Amino acid sequence: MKKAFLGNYFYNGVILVIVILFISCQHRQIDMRDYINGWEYITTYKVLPSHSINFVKRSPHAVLGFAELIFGKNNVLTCSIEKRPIFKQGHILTDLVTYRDLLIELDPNDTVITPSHLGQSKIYRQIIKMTPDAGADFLKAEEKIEIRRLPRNRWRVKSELEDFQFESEFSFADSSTVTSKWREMLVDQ
Amino acid sequence: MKALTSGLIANGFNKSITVRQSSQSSKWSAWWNNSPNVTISLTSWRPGMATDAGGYTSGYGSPGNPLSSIVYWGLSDTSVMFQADISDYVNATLHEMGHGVFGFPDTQGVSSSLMDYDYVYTPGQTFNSQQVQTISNSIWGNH
Repeated sequence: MKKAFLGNYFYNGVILVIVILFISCQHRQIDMRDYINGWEYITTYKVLPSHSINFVKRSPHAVLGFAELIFGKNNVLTCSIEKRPIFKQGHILTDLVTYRDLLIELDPNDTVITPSHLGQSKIYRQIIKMTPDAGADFLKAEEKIEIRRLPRNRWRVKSELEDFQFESEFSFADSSTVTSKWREMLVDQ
Repeated sequence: MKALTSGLIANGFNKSITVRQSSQSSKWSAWWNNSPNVTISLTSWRPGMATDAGGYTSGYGSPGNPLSSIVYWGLSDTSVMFQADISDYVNATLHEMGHGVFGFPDTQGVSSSLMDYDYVYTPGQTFNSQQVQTISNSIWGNH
């Protein structure tokens, strides 16, 4: 009886050690809610007269590569959204920043531009983050964005893209940049 | 492991560095030989994970004080079945070690470096010369 009791203690101890070892050897999955209070979005609109969009392919997985804005004969409008994590105090997790760009090169000879009717103009979406297939790609033909030429070198953009929703007029008489920030705080459940 | 060893040496790590499958004995061996060591976990990508990237390091380290780094087998969130090249895993591992072991921050479109999002997955990409120098001068390098 005593022997069985002590034996049980011994085996229970062995089992406990095995269970602790098994649990401690498990891969810990990262739960973002332990690290992040929310997200900060920084939106920047850039108007660049006499520019063009050029691509540099740095990864074999990228469709077009990474965009470079160079001097050229067209007008370029970019809308960039930088998404940054707002960390809880004392917590940092790397590689969560995402850059999302809408890149538009407007040929002055075009009047109405859509993804299915580009003329000589171009529209791209670029996503940069810690993935091998980061880079730029064409919009799908069915995506909703319309750009209309107005008098005096102005263009009206109406974008209903899922990630870029805005409607505005842009003058290409000069270069300009507008930046705005907003925060989305996560609610603990 | 050969590719990762070559990548480490090309970036200023000591030529006698070894990459091993993690085990308790390999950790004891490193401790016994007074060698610095870091553990990189390779884990599966799970659909629906609230993550955007190919790897994570919890926090920024300081030389000789590695923090936990995780590299995902599925390095992309655009396709669950994404198959990356060996060079992508090597680059992601070096990038995460850059954070976890040396405290290098991310950049975007700033310089040709493994820490820059525009360059991190370029095959054969290295850290920039300043970062390689930091590694070379640390306990991990040829100092």
